Amino acid sequence: MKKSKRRKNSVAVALLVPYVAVFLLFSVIPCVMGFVFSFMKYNPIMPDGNKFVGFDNYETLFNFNNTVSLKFWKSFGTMFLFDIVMVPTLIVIPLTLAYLINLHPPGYKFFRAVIYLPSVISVSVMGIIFGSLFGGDKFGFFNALFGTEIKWLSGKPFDGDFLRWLVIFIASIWWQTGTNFVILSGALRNIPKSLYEACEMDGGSRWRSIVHVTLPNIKSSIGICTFNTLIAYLGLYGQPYVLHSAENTIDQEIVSPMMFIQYYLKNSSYVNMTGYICAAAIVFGIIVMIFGTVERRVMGERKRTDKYVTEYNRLTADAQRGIAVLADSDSTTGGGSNVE
Amino acid sequence: MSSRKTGKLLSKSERTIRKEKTVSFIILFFVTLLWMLPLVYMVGTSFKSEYDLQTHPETLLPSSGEWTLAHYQSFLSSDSDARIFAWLGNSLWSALAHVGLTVLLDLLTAFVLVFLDFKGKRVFVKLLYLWMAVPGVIGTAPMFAMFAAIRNGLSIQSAAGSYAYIYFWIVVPGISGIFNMLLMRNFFLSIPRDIVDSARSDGASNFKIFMRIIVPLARSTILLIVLFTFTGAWNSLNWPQLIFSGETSKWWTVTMGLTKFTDSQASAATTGVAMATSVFAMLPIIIVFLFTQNKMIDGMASSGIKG
Repeated sequence: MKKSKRRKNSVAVALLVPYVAVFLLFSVIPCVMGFVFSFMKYNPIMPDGNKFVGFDNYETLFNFNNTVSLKFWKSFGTMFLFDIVMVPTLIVIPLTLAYLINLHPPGYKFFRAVIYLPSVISVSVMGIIFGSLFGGDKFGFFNALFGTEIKWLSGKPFDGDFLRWLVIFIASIWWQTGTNFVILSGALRNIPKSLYEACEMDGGSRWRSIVHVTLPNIKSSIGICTFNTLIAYLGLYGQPYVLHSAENTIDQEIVSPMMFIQYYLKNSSYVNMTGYICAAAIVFGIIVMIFGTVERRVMGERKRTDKYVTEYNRLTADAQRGIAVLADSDSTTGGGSNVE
Repeated sequence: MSSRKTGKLLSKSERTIRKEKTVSFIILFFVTLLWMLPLVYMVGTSFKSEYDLQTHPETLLPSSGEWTLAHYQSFLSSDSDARIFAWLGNSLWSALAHVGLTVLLDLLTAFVLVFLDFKGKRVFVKLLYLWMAVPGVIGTAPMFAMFAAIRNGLSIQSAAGSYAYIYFWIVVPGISGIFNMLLMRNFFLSIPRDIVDSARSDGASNFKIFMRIIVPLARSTILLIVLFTFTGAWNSLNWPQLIFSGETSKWWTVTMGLTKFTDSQASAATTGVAMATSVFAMLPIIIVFLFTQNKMIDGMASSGIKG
């Protein structure tokens, strides 16, 4: 018995090896190295001068007189202001559309497919389309349409020019509504119909049923969507990268921490700054983690592990209560089933 | 008495339902029109003649008699800047390899975590959950340094060797994504243990249980992971941009390649080719989408509940 257990043990461990190996090599080790590099003057091409410098990189990063560090914090501020508007929008619009889809009007499958479609398009195609729609000369679609020559994509966001962010905002709505829309419409569909019927029996209005039945029941899905969207938009990169004008200066281009990190990594003349970039990445990463944790606390899902179980239990309990209410009010419709 | 009450209620709610359906139809109709506008514009512009692009940039479709395939011919015939076939090929095979490896690893690992026992299983899962909160950006710079250092160490000379080396770093690093694996694990946890236990008492080996019971049951979760990882791999931009810096443009992926058009100022001269190339680059994904969208959307919709 004991021997067979040990054998089982070793089989399990052997089967885990591929996953763990890839995970260690490409996730854990780079992060540990990043942590170590952030305390070093590190140059991967000329390793002779590499040495530990303590907290020097962090000191430089928090020194706002340093032009490079200033770029980092400015880019952070720009991205953050944008996210404050963008993330709630990417919850509210998909939720509204999901609610409408869930009323199952004629042709809803077609509508659903079209709204989801942009989500599978690559970011550079999105950039080509919107870059041409909002082209800065008189050949851009909207400029030609209105007979104007607005430089939509030039300039620095929030610094005398807010139009570029508006374009990025519109393009992001078009491009990324789909995923949250589909997840939320699934959540809406899974609310037991009996709950609505019970609410109606009690004389609740449509508005009351939205507030007391719909929203509480999709809270966890809203939480997941908010979390994913928040993390994705803290790491904003693709949209500002493709939606820009070639006239923009470097200062106008670096509008998010990811763009900052990517810019200094890609350009080999900054290779001696690798340690500093690692420090910036760690500070940025910690801020992202804090935001993620706060979001989860606020949405009340401290324990991701048990979330699904509690959610399931709550749903079934609610459904049973719904049936009980229906039985009390002498109804012939035996609810409980949420399948259409 | 009671039946009359129910009847009245039903007809009332039926009436409101019909009204709501009409309202939602009208709103969704206009939203859908708005959503299609950029795509119609893209396809329409790709067929516009140079003259039409100059004189009528404000229309969605070419003027009558001005439809042309010139932009398609220009990138299909010559070896112009847009090496669309090479890019598409690179993207397709690398994304498929990435997806295949991810699904394989996820199935295997989730199976071990749910149906086999080993010491420290709980700790392992806990660690994975914790690690999920660590942002990957911390590892980007060291990984890029690793990429360069190992390349120097191996001193790869041949073009084929470099290509293989680069694509190893495109395909492999993301395949151990925790989220997808835990998605699979959560699904496996919902499979009744009795099924597996009874199969085991009938003398089925782990391999047999895995192939005959678990994998067929996991089809919808597999589809979901395929969807997530494929679009992720197809769209990834940051990492390829680092890795391909200084490489010949023939080796790029399609998402990376198309940024050539957004890097330079959009003008009437390049718009036609840019649009035609985009249409072409979108075709594979659109075809897959048309055939799978119903299943895909349903699968994603249920993921909101399951994980």
